[in-house]
Amino acid sequence: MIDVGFSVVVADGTASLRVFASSDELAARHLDACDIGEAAFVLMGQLHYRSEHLRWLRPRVGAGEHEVCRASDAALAAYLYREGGVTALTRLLGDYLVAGVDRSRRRLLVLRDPTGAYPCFWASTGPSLRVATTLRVIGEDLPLEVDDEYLADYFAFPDDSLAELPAARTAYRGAHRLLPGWCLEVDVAAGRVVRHWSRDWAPSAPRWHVTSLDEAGHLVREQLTASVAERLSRNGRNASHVSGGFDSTAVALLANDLLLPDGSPLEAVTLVYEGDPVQAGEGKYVAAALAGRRGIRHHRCPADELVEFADHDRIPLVDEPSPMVADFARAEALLDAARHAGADTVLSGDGGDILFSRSSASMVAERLRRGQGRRALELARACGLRRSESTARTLRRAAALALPASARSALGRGRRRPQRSPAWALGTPEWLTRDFTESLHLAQRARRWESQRDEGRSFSLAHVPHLAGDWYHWNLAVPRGLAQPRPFFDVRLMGLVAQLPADLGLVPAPMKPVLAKAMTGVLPEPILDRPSKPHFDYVVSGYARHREWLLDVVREAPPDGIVDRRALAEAVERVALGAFPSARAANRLAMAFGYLVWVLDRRRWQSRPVPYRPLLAPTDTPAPSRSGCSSPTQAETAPLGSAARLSMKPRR
Amino acid sequence: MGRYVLHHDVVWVDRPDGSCRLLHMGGATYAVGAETAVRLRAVLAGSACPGPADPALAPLLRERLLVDVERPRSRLAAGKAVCASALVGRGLRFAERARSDPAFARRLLYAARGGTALFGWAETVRVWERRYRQPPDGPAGRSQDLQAIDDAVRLVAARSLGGHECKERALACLAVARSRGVAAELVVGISEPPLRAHVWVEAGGTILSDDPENCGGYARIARYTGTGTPTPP
Repeated sequence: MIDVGFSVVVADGTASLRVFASSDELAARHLDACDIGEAAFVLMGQLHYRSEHLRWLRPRVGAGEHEVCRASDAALAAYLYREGGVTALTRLLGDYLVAGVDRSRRRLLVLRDPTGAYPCFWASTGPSLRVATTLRVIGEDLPLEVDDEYLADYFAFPDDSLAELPAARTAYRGAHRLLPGWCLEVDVAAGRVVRHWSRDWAPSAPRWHVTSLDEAGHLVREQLTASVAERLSRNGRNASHVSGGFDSTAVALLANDLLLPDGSPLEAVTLVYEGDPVQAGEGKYVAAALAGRRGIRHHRCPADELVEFADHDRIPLVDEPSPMVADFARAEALLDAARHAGADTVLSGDGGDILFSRSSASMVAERLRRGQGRRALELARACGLRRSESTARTLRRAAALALPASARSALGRGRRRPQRSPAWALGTPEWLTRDFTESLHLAQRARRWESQRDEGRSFSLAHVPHLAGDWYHWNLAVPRGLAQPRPFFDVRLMGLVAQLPADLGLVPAPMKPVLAKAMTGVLPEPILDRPSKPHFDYVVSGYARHREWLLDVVREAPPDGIVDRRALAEAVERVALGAFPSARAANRLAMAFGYLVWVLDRRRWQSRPVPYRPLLAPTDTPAPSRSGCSSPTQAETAPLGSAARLSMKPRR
Repeated sequence: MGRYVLHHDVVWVDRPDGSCRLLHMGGATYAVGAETAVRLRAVLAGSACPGPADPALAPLLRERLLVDVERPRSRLAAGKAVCASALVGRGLRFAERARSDPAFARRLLYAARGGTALFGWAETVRVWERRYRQPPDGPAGRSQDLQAIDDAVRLVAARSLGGHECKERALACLAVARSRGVAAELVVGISEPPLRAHVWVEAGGTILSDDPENCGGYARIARYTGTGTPTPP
């Protein structure tokens, strides 16, 4: 994320804040800074539920200071810190990364929100310590050597929707990731980390005692509405993806309801696949959702060509390897359509499945865990009838899921029968060299990751680390001056859903009973009553369409002993012909190509200049009062330029 | 027509990029690249003649997707057909002795399960269609009758622990419908990528044996209309 961000360099007893942005508009859109004398803060992103913090601050700060806090997220963070210390800061909610320098205590604090809306890295190189929103800036001080341990974890990771690994290790030795929900405290005088901790953000979510589906639906509706409201554009320029599915449509229609009283329009963007009969059939659900709705402008984007690896010559330069490069063109088309329609915020429906969807086997496993054998059998039968599934298969799968994850993993190890598709085996696919997979124990790493995820259970806060980051937001939305918030990943909503009784809504239909109850009256009946959403595997045809380019990438792959080029080329040929066991298996290839593209682009990435720029000029900030917020370019700081040094001397 | 023909249980599905899928209803599915597909068309049309060791076509011959018309049918295949007729036929006669509709449906499901497991889909359908012939053209079944057939079979399938899936449900619905004089056809659909096949029954435009929403995602590639072999949709 080189287009916009910030860094803080701690050296020689000082902390120097630098911002970079390829345009003024980009800086103004994503960055905010404030210096209140005792402390100076920079914030990337946006805070939510601000009114609660403003209410808490009102008796504690002056009127002018309160006014500044109303206008500026960085100021709000600064004054919260001044009045409530780190504890107050850790209660901040939103999509943000915040860094603050406390002059009196000579401390640098960095906090990242619990879902990692913006990346953050740090590295200590003896005399200096650097914190930045991109590894590119870390690399200005640290020789960037690729860490094979990271690559091993990357290839073993089971989820191909990977923005960042939920691990402090990064792709480069010596560079660390500040994990979502974590805080970093640095002693500026000594230039070293004194505290690095995961804050318990769960108390930000209220405690609930829910006993019925109706009650759960009501609470989810309230909280989801609040979540959407907090994420609407402050400039009234809103867009939302609408696919015809539960999640995106729910977010879009709630946003529409919130915007109607002001008369603000909502730009609803739909990707249209006319060449695929399955996806073309989604049109009727989109039509049902938008029928009769005021205040929505519908934009249909043709997407038949937006298969995987479309526009591969424009894949963004990225800090770390990610399989998300495969699908960037589709996400980009959606964002561009929203931007052309005038939006600066594009609401996403991501996360609804993670919070609310449960497979038949997972629900039956819940009954089995509770010792409810008869009810488990009834539920399996009901799912078999409603979802046209084999009851026996559901019960077999449920029995496995009912075991603890460690026991499942041990059973997998002890299995004598070979895997059905060894070529696609998680952790040890055939396109990785045997040396690499064995010397770095990829199979064990894969089992460890799987046991951490535990797909057999309903959503809990333990799942949150695996939701870390938002690749499309960082690499596509942010450089375009857009925000792409995800209302389903609101901390309070996740906290509520995590507290719902696990046996609530164990029914075969509708698809997501709690969310369906919450959205009754909002979503039209055809969507609420859908038994399932069809597979969206059409995009995998990209392996056939872009086969030549993929094979070129394989040919150019460096001989680093990681990728078996011959095996990878064969795998591409198989997927191009459609000969693979499942879309998930094919998507494992995206992990390989995410790595290769990253390796091949590294030199370009390293040579790309970082667009440092001055912080906001004094005229862009409110006139400083005695204790008001001012730009760090005050007399006692270093001169204007590309860096503003924040002096540790307390302001007189 | 040349010396080689597609096996009668094979369905050819073209793809936009020139490649094709060959679905062997008695076996597996094969992906054929565009160049090989062109060559295969020429062979089937008789304008090209491969040798038995032809690297492109030898695998197709080996897997019985292509049949050499000059060679007699293998005794193994003939024996399999006889056994299927005997055993599956016996299962169907047992099913017909059931005293209630749910019992009839249950026995049909197990007969289908056993037949497809032992002899494969293609042979089982042949036995099925010989036993349950397509009624002559007449008025379509009433919607409530069709719904009753669908409900009965799907309920029994859901309650059973026999692992019944789309194939068994479809065969059971077909048997019940035709035995009541309702014209019905088996429909085979595929979706990809990756390749997934699905089977259901259609009677007078009504989908039986599955939720219509589940079938909407599949492109129809073949129908069984009473001859025991797949025909184009």
